[in-house]
Parts: sequence; structure tokens; C-alpha cells
Amino acid sequence: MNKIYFTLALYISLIFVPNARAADTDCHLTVGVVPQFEQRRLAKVWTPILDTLGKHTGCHYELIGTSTILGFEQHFKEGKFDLVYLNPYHAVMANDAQGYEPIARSGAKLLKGILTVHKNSGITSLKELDGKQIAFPSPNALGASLLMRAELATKYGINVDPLYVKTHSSVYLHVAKQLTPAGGGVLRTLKEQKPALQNTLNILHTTTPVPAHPLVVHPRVGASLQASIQRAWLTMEQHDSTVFDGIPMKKAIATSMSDYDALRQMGLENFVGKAE
Amino acid sequence: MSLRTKILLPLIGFIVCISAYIYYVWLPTSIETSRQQAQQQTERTLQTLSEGLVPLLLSNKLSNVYDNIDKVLEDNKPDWVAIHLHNIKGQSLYPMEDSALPATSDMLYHIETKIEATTTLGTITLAYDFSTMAGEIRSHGHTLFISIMAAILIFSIILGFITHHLVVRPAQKLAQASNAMAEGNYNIRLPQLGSGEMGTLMQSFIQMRSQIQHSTRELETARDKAEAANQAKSEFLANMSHELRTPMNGIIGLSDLLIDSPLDDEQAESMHAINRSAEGLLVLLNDILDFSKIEAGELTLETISFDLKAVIEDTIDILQPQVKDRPVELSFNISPTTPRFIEGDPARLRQILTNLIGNAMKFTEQGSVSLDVSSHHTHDGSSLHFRVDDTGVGIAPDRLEMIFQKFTQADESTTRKFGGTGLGLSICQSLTYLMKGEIGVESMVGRGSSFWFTIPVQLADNTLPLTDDENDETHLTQRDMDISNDETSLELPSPALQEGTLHVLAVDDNPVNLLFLRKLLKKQGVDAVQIANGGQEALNYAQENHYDIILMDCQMPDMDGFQTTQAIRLIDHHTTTPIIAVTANAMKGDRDKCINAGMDDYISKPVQPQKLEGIFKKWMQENTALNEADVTIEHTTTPSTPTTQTRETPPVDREHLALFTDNDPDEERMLLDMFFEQAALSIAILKKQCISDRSNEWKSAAHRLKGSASNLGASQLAQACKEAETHADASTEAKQQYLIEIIQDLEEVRAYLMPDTTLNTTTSPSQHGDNNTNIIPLTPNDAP
Repeated sequence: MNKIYFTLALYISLIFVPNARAADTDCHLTVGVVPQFEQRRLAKVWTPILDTLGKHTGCHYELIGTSTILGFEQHFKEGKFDLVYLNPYHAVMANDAQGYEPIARSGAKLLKGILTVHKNSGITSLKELDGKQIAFPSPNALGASLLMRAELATKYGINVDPLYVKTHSSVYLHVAKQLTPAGGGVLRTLKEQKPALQNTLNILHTTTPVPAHPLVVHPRVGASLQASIQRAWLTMEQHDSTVFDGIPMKKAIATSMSDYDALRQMGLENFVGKAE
Repeated sequence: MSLRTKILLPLIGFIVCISAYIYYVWLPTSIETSRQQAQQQTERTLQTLSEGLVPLLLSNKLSNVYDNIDKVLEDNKPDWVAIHLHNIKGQSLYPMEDSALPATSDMLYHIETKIEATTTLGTITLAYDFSTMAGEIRSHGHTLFISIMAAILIFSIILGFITHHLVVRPAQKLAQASNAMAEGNYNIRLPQLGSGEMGTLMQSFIQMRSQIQHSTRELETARDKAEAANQAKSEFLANMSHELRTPMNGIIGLSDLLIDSPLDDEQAESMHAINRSAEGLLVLLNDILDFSKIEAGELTLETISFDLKAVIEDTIDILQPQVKDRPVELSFNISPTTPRFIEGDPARLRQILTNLIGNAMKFTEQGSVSLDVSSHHTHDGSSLHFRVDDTGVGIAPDRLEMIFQKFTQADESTTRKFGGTGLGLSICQSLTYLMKGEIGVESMVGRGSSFWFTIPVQLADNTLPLTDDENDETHLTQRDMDISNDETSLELPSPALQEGTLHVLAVDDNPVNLLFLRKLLKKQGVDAVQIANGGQEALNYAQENHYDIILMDCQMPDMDGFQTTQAIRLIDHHTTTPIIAVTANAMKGDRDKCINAGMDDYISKPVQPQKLEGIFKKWMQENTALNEADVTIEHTTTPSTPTTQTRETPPVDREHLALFTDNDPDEERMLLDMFFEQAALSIAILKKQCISDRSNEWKSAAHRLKGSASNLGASQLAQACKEAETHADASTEAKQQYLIEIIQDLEEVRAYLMPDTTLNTTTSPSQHGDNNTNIIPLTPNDAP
């Protein structure tokens, strides 16, 4: 439906807005998206978003696919993208490397990691977990793993032996079955577990909240276009409430690099897993 | 057991077997097989699960492990109850809550599998519950069972219906028809069933039934005919013997009287021979009469109180003369405890005793015949045991069994030697059975026989032991017979009556009979005899005087013997006086009639001296006023004058007549005058009634003349009168014929007794001379 709608809108713009079409030629932007999913799925989600954005801004947006996180990081460090949707700690990396500037992010709650222990474990302080094996979904899961591990190490000086168990549910089950004394997760996924499982767990620690994924712009894009893109991004939901259904972007708001300063100070890059 | 049950029973048995097989063999086997299959299947599934878990466990994807196991459990509900998963360190991985597996049981198993990769990763344990599957199999078995039952039931119902329709119902119909046939109904309709077995059976039954019906009808007809013939035979026999008895009585009575009259030796011997033959013949006649009565079921027993001792003594006394010319000792013995007065039928008891003792005497040439009487008392009642022992020829063992059969004697030669009909013992047996008793015999050839019989008795009210007041009586009654004794020396122990001590009233409308009676009594030493010519006269005498005994004729004009007796019984001093009926009617029921009228005993005409003696003896003994009185007849052979009679059959027995007249011409003259006077009266009445329908007057006149004639000894005349009396209802012509015979016989009597008188005086007695003309046309010459 959306596709038909957008295709139709594209035709209308082609027929009735010859100026915009003429502008295409001198306004061509490359777009990169963090490869959380495979390329085809990303393209399917992002193409309508970028078409809509193009209609509002009169530019043409080209989605540049990358198959791995590593390749993606390489690309934005080299400044190959004009526009990038990425992790908060990638945003810090991109800013450091090319000066990419965040212009919009999700208006939803800030992201927080939680550390769960078994109700009967008797563990009351983080210090008791020093040197212990702790379950985490994966090395780079932002709230559940990266934020938690970084904060435990940098803020509390606690070293843990991470056991990556792929999913949040596995983390909670490991704790519940007392295979590990603690496990990292996020509040949202904990609440999704069965009550019986939730009831066996206590939350020992919650991390400092961080903002969600931002849309960053390369400094070579002109300020007026940046403002045009930002304005279009922030108002797109008003025209079509379903436009961001495919990505974690709810009630998009304007943002800047200052929102991500806390992240920069944690030195997340030191805790990013090398496996991927 | 009904046909239907017999058919359905095997079916029910079959059903029970099928049920038992399904429940005890098929179902358990089926469950066990399924269990094994299910276990194998489960083990395979569990293996597959464990293989699937390997990569998940290697990558610590516990949530996927949970998802997989949850899904498998869900898919295999409810047989897979629970799964426990442990890692190599023994730590529990699944389920989330730590809980023990359900305990194993008959239907719940634990199946354990190791999870193997390059190394062992852990173990998975399944709690497998077979009960649901077993339940399903069982329920399947139930369904199968119910289906089979339903099928068999429907089959049974159909079979039952068919059987009922084709076999049971026709069989019931047949049974119904058979029962009906047994009750004489041959008309139950039977269904037509075509050509099957039942149809054939039905047809055969119908055929058989009609044949049976036909045969039954024929048999019934034959039976009716046979019964009628038998009835006629019995009646004929009874009538014949009865008819024969009457003349026999005449012969006996008259020969008795003749024996007592003066006869020469030859005559006396002949007379005795006649008398014995006649007695024998009478016994035979009585036997035949009794036998025919028994055959016809007409013989009934009386129940009266009587003196047992008197009956026994009487019997012995009567039989005693039979052995007087043989060296045989006749004796009897009565045990002291035997009751004297009992209830029963004395006449029939006497008959049995007479038969048995008479029999014993008949077959005993020398030695003894003895009667033993004893009594037995049990809580059931009393019984009398009679035993007659003799030292006679005895009976061979092979004949003993048939000895009580009719017309049977121990040996055919005995018939030739000893005579007899062979009915005596059979009658004894019948009588004993009628008395609810038993009879038997023991015997040894050449040594003698022992006949015994036992009868239950009721004691009479005044029962005393027979020998209570006469302790010596048994010895006294064991009268030894001196073998050398002739009959003149035979002395009966009872003392002769003293003259004047016994007052007798003799009642008869026939003066000849009265005369006869008076003569007889006189010969027995009884002189005090008052004569009454009719009922009323007798009543008058009875009111004024006391009599010890009254002899009463039954058939009298105006007031007969029965009415007279009833009237006499109302007189205070005659309430218990013995009244003896004297009648020519020896018919059945006469005795009852007499007893009912208030008479005590019965004696038939012509009166035999011995019988009269017996009656007197019996009744005078019972009369306490004359307790020792006894009536005796001296059996003496009076040497008789040589007879001048040459006629072979005189119309009148002169010797008989002499009984009354003692050859006194005056007395004879008086008697004859009286006789002919009475005879003329009777003839006149008969003439008159010849042409009248009033048969009673005819009968009465003939009866009177018959009595007079028989007492006079004019037996031919008496017989003619009897004929006339019997045929009182005959036509006038027949009556005239009877009358002619009577007149002829009467004339013969007159000619014989009074040869000097003319025929005229006979036919025209002075009182009825005017009737003379009437008889002229009826003289034999003019008779048609």
C-alpha cells in the first residue's frame, strides 16, 4: 500500500514538479545504514523513507549497502556517506573521524542497560561480581552488553568474564538457572519474559541512560540542505504516521553532538567486540 | 428347560467367552504391544530432539533450547509429562523450576538419552505417561466389545425370533394340544407349517391324534360294554346266589327239623347227608354272593360294638361238629389282655374266622386245629392278631403266593379231594383289606399250615379284658374233643334253660308260622311263649307284660314289624329287650332296616333251630338278668320210626310237620285245620286280585300262604306262592296261571295230608263258599 502510495507520489512529483526534478541533477546524496539486518531487508525498509525524504527535500538519496559492521565503520570513517543512520557510539566514532553531526533521533525513552541476579543468590553489590562469568546477549548489544560492560569497568572498576548467549531470554534463563551469577539485559526485554522467569530475577544495577540511534550528516552537505533535511525528517511523521515503522525512530526530535558527550567519555570503543 | 432356553444358552455362553477373550487376552496383549511401539517411537523422537539441541547448547542459546523442548512437550501432550535437561556438570538446564520428575509406575516411564556431540553435552530425561494411550486402547477395546455384543445381541434376537416363530411356537402349540389331548380334548387347532421338519411333525401329530381319538373312542365303547357286561355278570351272580339261597335255607331248615324227627338209621344218614350237602352248598352260595359283592364294590362293613369272645365261641361252636368224626382237636386260646368288647363288623369277622378254621379243618385229617387271639397296643392304636394253626397237609412253597388268589387252591388235586370253590381265602383277604388289616400264611408240606390275620380295632366303651371275670374261661373253652365221641356225647357247656324263666313274645300274622315258632321254642325248652297275631296285639301284650325276648315278623298287614318295634321301644320296660326280626326277606339292606327300626338282630325264615339257638344264646348272655342262661339245642338223633312213605316227592314233608305236632294226631289235625283255613282265605284273596291291579294285596296273600306252607313243610306250594308273590305285577293271565299252580299244589297237600277230605272243601272253604263258582273256569282242565 505504502509502496503504491509512494510510487504514485513519485510520479506526481515527476510530472508536476519539474524544478525538483531539475534539482536532482545537482543534489545527489549517499546514505549509509548500520547493517543490523541483511541488505535486502534494509533496502526494503529504507527505500520508501528515502523516497519520501527526497520528495520533501528535492534531492536524490542513494542507499549504499555494506555487509559487515567493520566495512560500515570503515566507510563512514572515510566519509563515504553524506547521510548515515548508526549506533550512538558509532556516532561518536563518526564525529571523531569526519565530523558527522547528529540532526535527528528517536524521541522515545533513553536507552538503559540492566544487570539481573537470581533472587536467591544473596548478591547485593556489584563488587561481589568481580571476576565472575556474566551472561550477555552479544558483545556489541548497546544497553545490555556494551554500556554495561563499559560502565562496570570504567565507572566501578569491575572486571567480568562475559559469556555471550545470543539472546536476552537466554541471559535471563542463565541467571534463573544460576548458570551465571548475573546477566545483562534491558528493561524492555525483561518485561517480555514470562512472569515465572521475571519473578526469579532481581535488578542489581541500571546503567546511565543514553540517547538512541541518530541520523548524522557529513559536514560537506551545506547548512541550508542540512536544515532542509532535518525539517523534512522531523515533519515526515506528520504527513505519514507509518513512515518510520521499519526503524526504531518514534516521534523524531532534533538532536546534536552534545547529547552523546556522556558516551564519548565512557570509551565504548574499547569494549566493542572484535568478532563482528 | 424350554426349547428357547436351550437355543439361547449356547449363544449366551458364546457371548461370555467372547467377552472374556476381549477382556483378559486381547486387550492386555493389545495394550502391551502398543506400549512397546509407543516406547520405541518415543525414544526415536527424544533422540531427534537431543540431536537438535546440540548446536543450541554449544552456543549457549538456552532460550532456543527452551523453545524447542516446550514445543516438543506441547506436541506430545499428554504422553510426555515432563523433560529434564542437565548439562555435563549435572546442572539443571530445563525446566526453569527445579522439580523432580513424576515417579515411575506401571504406566509412567523415564527415558534417558545422552546428548552427544564431540563430547557429551548433557543428559535429557523424559517422563513418559502411557496411561492416556492405554486408556485410548482400552476405550477402543470397549467400543469393539460393545459392537460385538450389539451384533451378537441383534443376531440372537433375530435367531430367537426365527426360532420362536418356526420352532418354539409350534412346539408350544403341540405341547398345548398334547396336554389338551391328555385331558380328552382333541380339538385344539394346530397351524399348518408346510413341508419342514416342524410341518411334518405337526402333520404326524395331527394324524396320531386322530388315530388316538379313534382308538380311544373304540376303547371307551369296548370298556363301557365290558363294564356293562361285568356289571350284568355281577348282578346276575348276586341275584342267582340270592335266589338259590332261599331254597337252600328251606332245605337246610327242613332237613334240620327232619333230623330231629324220628327216622330210621338209613333215613337219618341220608338226612344228614342232605343237610351237610345243603350246608356246603349254602357256604358256596354265600361265598359267591360275597365275592360278587366284593367284585362290584358293594360290600360295606358295619361298625358296631360287639363281644369278641362271644363271636369266637360261636364260631368254634358252629364249626365243632365238622370234625366230630375225625381225630382232630379243635381249640382256641385268647390272650388275657385281649379286649372283650370292640367296635367292628362281627359278622364279617366271624366269616373270616369260619373260613380260616373251616379251611384248616377241611385239610386236617388228624391232629389239631387251634385259634390263637392276641392283641397289640401301640401309640397308633390297638390291633388284634388271629392265628389258625393246623396239622394238615400243608401247602407247597411255590403255591403259597397264589393261595389268596381267586379260584386258586394249593393243589388241583385238593379240589378233587376236598372240594371248595377257592373263593374262601380270597374273600378273607378282601375282607381283611377292607378292615385295613393284613393276612398271611406260613406252611410246610406235611406238617401243617398257619394262617394269620391282623386287624386294627377300636375298643368299645365298655371294654374289659376277655378273661377278666372268667379266669378259667380260656381253659374251659379249650374244649377237648374226645375222638371217640359220637355226636350224642357232644355236650355244649351252657346249661339248659330253666322252664318258666324265659318269657318270649312271638309276633306273626300267620298262625301257621306262629305255631311253627312255638313248636321250635318248645323243643328248646321255652314254654312261656305268648303269641300275637299282629302288630297291635303284640303291642298290647308288650304293654302289659315283661318279655325277655321278642320274635317279630316284619311283613304284617295294618302294622308291620318295624312300626310295632318302634312302638314297643317306647314302652319303659322294653327299651332294651332284645327284639329279633324273623323274616323271609333275605335281601340286602333288610338287616339295616331292622336295626334302624330298633330291632337287635335278624333271623331269616325258615327258622333253623341252630340259628335260633345261636340267637337266644347270644342275646340271653348279654342280658344280665339271665347272665348264665344259655340256650341249647340237643343234637340228638332220635331213632325214627320206619317210614311208610313210598312217594318220592311228597307234597308235604311229614317229618317236618312232626316237628310241630310230635306226631300227635289231634295236634296235627288242629294245625292242618288252621293251615287250610288260612290257605282258603289267601286263595280267595288271590282269586279276587287276579283281575285287579292292586298288586300289594295279591303279594301279601301269596306271602302269607308261602310262609304257612313253608312252615308246614309244603315246599312245592311255598315255591308256587313265592313265584306268585314275586310276580305280583304280572298280567291277569299270568296271575291266573300262578293261582292254578297254587291251587293244584294245595290240593296235593290236602290229598296227601287229609286223603279223606274232598276237593270241594279245599276249593270252597265254608267262609268263602260263594267264591266257588269263580274258580271253576280256572281249573286245570279248562285252562288254556
